[in-house]
Amino acid sequence: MIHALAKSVTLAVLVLGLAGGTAAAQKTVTAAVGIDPTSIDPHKISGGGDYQFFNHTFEGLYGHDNAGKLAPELALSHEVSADGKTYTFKLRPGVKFHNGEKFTAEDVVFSWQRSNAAETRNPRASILTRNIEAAEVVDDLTVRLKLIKPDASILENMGEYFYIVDKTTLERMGDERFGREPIGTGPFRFVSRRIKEQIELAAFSEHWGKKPKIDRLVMKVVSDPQTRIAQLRAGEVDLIVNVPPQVAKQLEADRNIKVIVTPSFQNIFILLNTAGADGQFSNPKVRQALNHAVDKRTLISRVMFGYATISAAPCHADITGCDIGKEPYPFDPKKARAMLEEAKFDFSRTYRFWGQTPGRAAQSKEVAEAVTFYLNQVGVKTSIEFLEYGAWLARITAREYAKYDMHWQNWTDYNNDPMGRLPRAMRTGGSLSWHTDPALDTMIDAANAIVDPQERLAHLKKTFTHIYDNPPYIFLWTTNEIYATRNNIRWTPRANVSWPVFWEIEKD
Amino acid sequence: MGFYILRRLGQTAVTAVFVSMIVFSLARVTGDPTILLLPTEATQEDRDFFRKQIGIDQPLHLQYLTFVGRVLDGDMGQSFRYREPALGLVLSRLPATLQLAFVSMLFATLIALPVGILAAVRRDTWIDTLARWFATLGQATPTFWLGLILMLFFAVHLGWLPTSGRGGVEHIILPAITLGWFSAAAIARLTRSAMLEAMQSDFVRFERLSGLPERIVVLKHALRNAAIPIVTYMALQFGVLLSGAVVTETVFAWPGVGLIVVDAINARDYPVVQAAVLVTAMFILLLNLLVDLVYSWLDPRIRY
Repeated sequence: MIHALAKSVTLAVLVLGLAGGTAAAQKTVTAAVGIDPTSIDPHKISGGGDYQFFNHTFEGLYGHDNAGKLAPELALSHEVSADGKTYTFKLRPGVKFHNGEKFTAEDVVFSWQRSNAAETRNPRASILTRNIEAAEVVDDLTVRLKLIKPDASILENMGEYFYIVDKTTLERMGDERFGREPIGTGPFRFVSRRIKEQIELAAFSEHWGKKPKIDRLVMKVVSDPQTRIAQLRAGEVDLIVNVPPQVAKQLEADRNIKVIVTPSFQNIFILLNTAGADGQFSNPKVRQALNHAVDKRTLISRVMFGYATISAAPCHADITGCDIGKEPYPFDPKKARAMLEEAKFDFSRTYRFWGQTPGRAAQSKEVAEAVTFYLNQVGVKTSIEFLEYGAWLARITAREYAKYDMHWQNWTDYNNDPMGRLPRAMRTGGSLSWHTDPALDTMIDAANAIVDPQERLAHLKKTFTHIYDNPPYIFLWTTNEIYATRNNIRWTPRANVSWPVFWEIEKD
Repeated sequence: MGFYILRRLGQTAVTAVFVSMIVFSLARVTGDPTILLLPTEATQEDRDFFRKQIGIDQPLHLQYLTFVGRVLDGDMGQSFRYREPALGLVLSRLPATLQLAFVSMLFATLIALPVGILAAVRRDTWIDTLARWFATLGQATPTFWLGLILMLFFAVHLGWLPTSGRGGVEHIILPAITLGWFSAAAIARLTRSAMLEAMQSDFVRFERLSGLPERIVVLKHALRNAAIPIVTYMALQFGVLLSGAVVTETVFAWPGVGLIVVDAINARDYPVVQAAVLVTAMFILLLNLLVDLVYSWLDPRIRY
């Protein structure tokens, strides 16, 4: 009896010891994120939040490194023809998909076909792949893409808009199953997903370059920021995203928690309708005056609690061409008033201002209200209304120029290239544009046909300088991304993006 | 009785048709889903193509007929956002919402009935005052605030319970208290007034005079007479719990229908909104039918 008991105890200790040993060897990082990807199929992306999944599991021919710089991923190098319409890529040898299949040029051609196929219903095909007229296999590790028109931002965009999938796997699995169990080449492989609950990934040990220092990554979807904070403080998760600026200082005081702040490409501004029939904002002097009217530095410190970087131009200085060496318009309400009077601005009218309800962008309502206060101080009377995100976006894209005068807006550049934004946001008739400036239109139209990077950089700087001198917006700031982790986490977030990338995360 | 049930089932079907028409129309009033599903640079052709693919290019009455035809086949369409069957998405999350609503109702009942009965029996004493305070405070406390306070105190500060998520028994305690708190207060208030009315009725006076023990008078006779309005109210409260679960599910990251509905409304994901509202409405209609049947058990004078 005693012998049997001793045997059982020894066995139990052994089992527990083994279990403990396994647990210690498995390093899992659990992150609480605010939003759930709309899709985990890389050709069905419809929201910026989806990239928190795709940046881990899929790759393009080119992408970005952790510092946010353009870097080759599934390609090793490329050549571009003189007319900017033919790109030839040398592919990286020895790359494997998560299921062990070999990556070849055939997969690039197949991915292009699938991205553009009507039945895929790819919401983002028009950004990159629809401009590819033909994709040809030159040999197993060389592929050639022929463009309909030159697109100098194609490399920058490949990391977000042209993910490579495996032809053989997709043909075997079919679209539907692949959409539930996606297989890519990224440093993490897909394990499981429960919609609006969590996504689980595992490190992909056969990745060609990146070697994650953790074994598993669990992204829990927790939409309420206060709940995320409570989870972190209770030690239930290792990391949280989108900490509201107003509570970040409190978290900084917690000894068990580290607050990590990185710049993002999210730009905040007040759009001025220059396409309106009554022409109040068509005079650049008026728009310059309004840039002088708002005390942006005070707003950053009081409303954004310091978690933002003032902008001279409507973008982060790391965006190609945006570093124009100009100081932001200084706060000078007297000068603003004098300039408005000189421009014969109509002070008798009430200007229709609208913004976004709270919940989606940090302090959106407070910022809009504070800006209208400053405008009123120089005699610009405003009425203000707030719309829920969908209604707000619908009104922006409807562009009823005769009805509204100005609105709070944000814009996130997905990569370093500004041409994702300029044609849409500032060119006459662009899908988000309330601006009309023929000189700017010409500059925007020319930008993507310039193949030489230095020449293009100079052109874009000239374009942003023109935008600074003829501001279509009241420029405010780019926001900072605020993350918080437990003390045992070491992590440098990928620079300049608004979604978390955990390639280099470590856990003690 | 059989005829009554058949008639009520018929009424339930008619109500379901009306609910489907209302939810179908209201979902479409919220706006164009392509604004949110497609990137802003999408052309008009892109949008038209997408509308055609998801079937919202047809006139409204044809869309409705297609919708009804599909519902009869058990298909409520595919989520625009997740590209999964909408009914499957809702049904997979329904157990979590029902579990939360049931446990909240259990909590509310366990608190409210004793409090309401005691307050009525000990009318105008400190117990009654305390019960009335409880009822007033309970009804005046915003759910999201209560949820966060409970979470901060019991999960973050004391570390006794998990902050959020669904798992073992310990996971449901805070969400159930949060969700059930308002109902507990409301049921306690109603129990008190219904019991006071019953206690003042002639038959209770007669039973007391005839020497029946007070416990039997209160719990067996007065409570049974007070039960009909309480049960009716509890059934209504169950509907409130199901819809109120949206806030509690958000605060506690409870993976129920509420969480997905909020997102679906924001994303103009009509099929998911329709499926969630219809499934919930059907559940409440059937519950009401069940409550009507319970009446006859509670009060033998009621016959169908």
